[in-house]
Amino acid sequence: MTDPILQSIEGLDTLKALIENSPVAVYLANMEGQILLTNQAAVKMVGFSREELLGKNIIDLDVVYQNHAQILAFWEAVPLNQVQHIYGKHLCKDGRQIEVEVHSSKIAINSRNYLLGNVTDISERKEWERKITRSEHLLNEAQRLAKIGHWELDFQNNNLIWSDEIYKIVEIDPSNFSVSYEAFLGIVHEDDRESLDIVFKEAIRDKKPYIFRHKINIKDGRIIHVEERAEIYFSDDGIPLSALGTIQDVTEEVETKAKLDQTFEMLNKLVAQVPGVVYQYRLYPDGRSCFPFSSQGMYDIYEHHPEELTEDASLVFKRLHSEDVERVSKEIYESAEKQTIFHSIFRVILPTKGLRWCRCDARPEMLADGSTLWFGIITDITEGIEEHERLVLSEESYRIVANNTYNWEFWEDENKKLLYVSPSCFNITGYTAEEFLNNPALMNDIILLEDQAQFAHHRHHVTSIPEKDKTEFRIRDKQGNVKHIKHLCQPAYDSNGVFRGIRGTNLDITEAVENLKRIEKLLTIEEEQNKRLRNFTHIVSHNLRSHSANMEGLLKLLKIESPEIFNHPYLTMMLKSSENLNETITHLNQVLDISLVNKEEWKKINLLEVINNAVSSVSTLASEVGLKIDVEVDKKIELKAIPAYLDSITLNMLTNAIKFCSEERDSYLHIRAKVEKGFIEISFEDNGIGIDLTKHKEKIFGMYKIIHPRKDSKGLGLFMTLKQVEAMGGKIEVESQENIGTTFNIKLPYESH
Amino acid sequence: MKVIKEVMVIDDDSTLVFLAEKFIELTDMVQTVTSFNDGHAAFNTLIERDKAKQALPDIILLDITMQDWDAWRTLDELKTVGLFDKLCIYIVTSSASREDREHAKFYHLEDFYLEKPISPEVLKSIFESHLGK
Repeated sequence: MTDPILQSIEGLDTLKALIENSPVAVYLANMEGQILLTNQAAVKMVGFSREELLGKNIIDLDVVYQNHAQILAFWEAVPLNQVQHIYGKHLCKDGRQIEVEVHSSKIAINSRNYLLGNVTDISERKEWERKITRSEHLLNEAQRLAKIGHWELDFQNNNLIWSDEIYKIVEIDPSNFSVSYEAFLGIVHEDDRESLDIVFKEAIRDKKPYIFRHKINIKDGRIIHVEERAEIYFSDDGIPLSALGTIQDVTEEVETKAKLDQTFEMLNKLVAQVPGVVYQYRLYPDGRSCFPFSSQGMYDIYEHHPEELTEDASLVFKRLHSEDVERVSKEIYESAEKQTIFHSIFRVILPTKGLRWCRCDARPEMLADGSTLWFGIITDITEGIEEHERLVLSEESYRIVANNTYNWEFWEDENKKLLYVSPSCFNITGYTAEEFLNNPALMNDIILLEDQAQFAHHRHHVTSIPEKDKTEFRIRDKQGNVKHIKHLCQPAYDSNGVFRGIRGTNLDITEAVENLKRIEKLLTIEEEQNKRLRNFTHIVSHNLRSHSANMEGLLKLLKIESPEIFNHPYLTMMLKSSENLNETITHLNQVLDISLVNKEEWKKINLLEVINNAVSSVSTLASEVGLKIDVEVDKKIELKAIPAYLDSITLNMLTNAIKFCSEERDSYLHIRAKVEKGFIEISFEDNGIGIDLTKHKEKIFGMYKIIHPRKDSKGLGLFMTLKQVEAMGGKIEVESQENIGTTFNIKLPYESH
Repeated sequence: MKVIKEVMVIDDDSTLVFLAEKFIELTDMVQTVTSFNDGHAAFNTLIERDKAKQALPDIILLDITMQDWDAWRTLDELKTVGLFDKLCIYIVTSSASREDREHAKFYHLEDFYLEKPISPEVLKSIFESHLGK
């Protein structure tokens, strides 16, 4: 297409050259839009040849602006040389649409109007723009999701910019907050404010990026944790230009970690409480193994610290007893292969503790890489093992002893199962130990019917409490003989106090029982003889005395009725003899009486009361002779004695002291009592005339022995006292020096309480 | 001055009875002495007298050891019929046995306990204390 006017204009070639050499596509069209001139750049841009382009209407090149009439009317209306700027889309020959920026204007050449357009392909730019928009959007979205905000600080004009997300993180309304470095420091938690400032300033000084976690005070007094990462940018000559950073809300992470730390600490504490070690043991497919986790108890078990074993478990295997290594390894592999619970008891040899027994229980878990991971516990059971060994040992010694004993020993466990019967049961029962073990009811069956109830009662008692008990019963042995058995049994406990059944002994006491019967018979005979002796005593006491008393009475009567007869000395002598006979019989009577004490007469009596009673009954006599009596006896002392004897002994001691006190000095009698092992010693110490013991020791306690002849001495007092003390199972001793004093020590049996 | 109407002596020993009668007579304080050689016979007489509302002896001297009823049996029987409390009984014994003295305590007679041989002096003091009460 040619335009005649254009052809005619001067400098057309110059115009052509200008257009041709433009780097952007250029079109020159007439006012109808027909392209008159174009250039190589346009050809390149849309893909049409120059010939195809020339004569095309420029409006047809674009797909956005299609209304010819409207467009042409627009161009008719616009003033000359006013550049119109539009964006459009051009259709290329290959069908692509490219985005274009068009600068066009109406120009006049030689008074004719033309349209001139410069067209630039902006598809690529537009694409970038879209990409950037999308990234910005994504960045915002990412920041929102990650709770990361970013900021930029321009050092030149101290201008700080926060992204929206920062405002959201710190819960501040952007419209009410004038952001600056100082304002930011103002919301940082007071604990961290100074440190953050230092970190920031050091980053500038050292030209290094930094990461810093700190707390921020937000509204309502809440605190959030943030992680700040920033980098400083410098000019070529080292002046800081700006800082670019991010702030991430890590509150959740920090709090979760704190909770986790807490849980972990609790777990550690718990694990520390478990006796032994709690561990994880990992066995890799290639045979390596390690303890990724083990509690501090590891040291107690293997004398290795947990951290020594996290990578390699071989140190532990070196501790194992050489005889156990192979077996334990086999057990580990078996547990891994079958995924069964690992249970093993093995020995370790430790540098400090030496040989220890360990028990291990662990549950395996298969891991994705073919490893097996066990969770388990190892405990030191040495004490238990030693206990067991001791028990086995003591059982063995029990058996040795029991096998060789004369008695019929047995042992049944806590479930009443008969475990052992000593062979000697055969000697007693005629049945063998095997017969007893095969028939647990045999022991009961051979007991005489009438004794079975009692034995059942005993058994119930022993097994239900359980406690030590004994009983007696009779059995009929295999030969049919009745035998008396004493049965003793007691619960057996191990040293941990665990009930281990009942151990018992059956003793054949047949002979003893028969002996007892014989003794009982003998006792009956003795009793009988005693009775006769009593009768004899009675004859002496009553009949003999009656006669002598009568004789004395008759003589007295005679003396009253015919006093003249008594002028004859024979009658006086007869009366005297009769009186003496009477007295002798009385004494004999008393002595016999002492020897035949009835057990029922023993009573518990208070010693001080007895002594005080006696003292008060002689007080008149004592004061007459000037004897001072003092009593030092614990009022709590009570002893079993025959009251009449104790009264008599005390009274005799008192009257002796009164009778034999010295006229040369102030007389005293000290009465004391002291408790010693098994007896009580009552002492009567006076400062009387004393006794020459070298001369009189033998006869002092004899009957009718009078050492100091006095009117009222009959020589019976000490003899009676001795007999009474002896009758109560006691002893009497005397210490004396002439003219200095006498001490009687009376020892009587005493049961302390 | 025979102020005591009757003393009863119960003893199977005729010598003792004879002596007792003589000694009582010598005190010159007693009008009548009745004697029995057996507790049972004495008991029967006492019962009859009590039933007949006749006077009972003022004092009874009772020997412990007797062939038929001894003193204890006699005392028990007297208690049973309610006569014991109406009587003033002295136990007379030739025994120095503690057992007998203890036994007397059972009847609260430990202070009414005479050991043989009896003498006019002892009897006199008994009678005097009886009158004095």
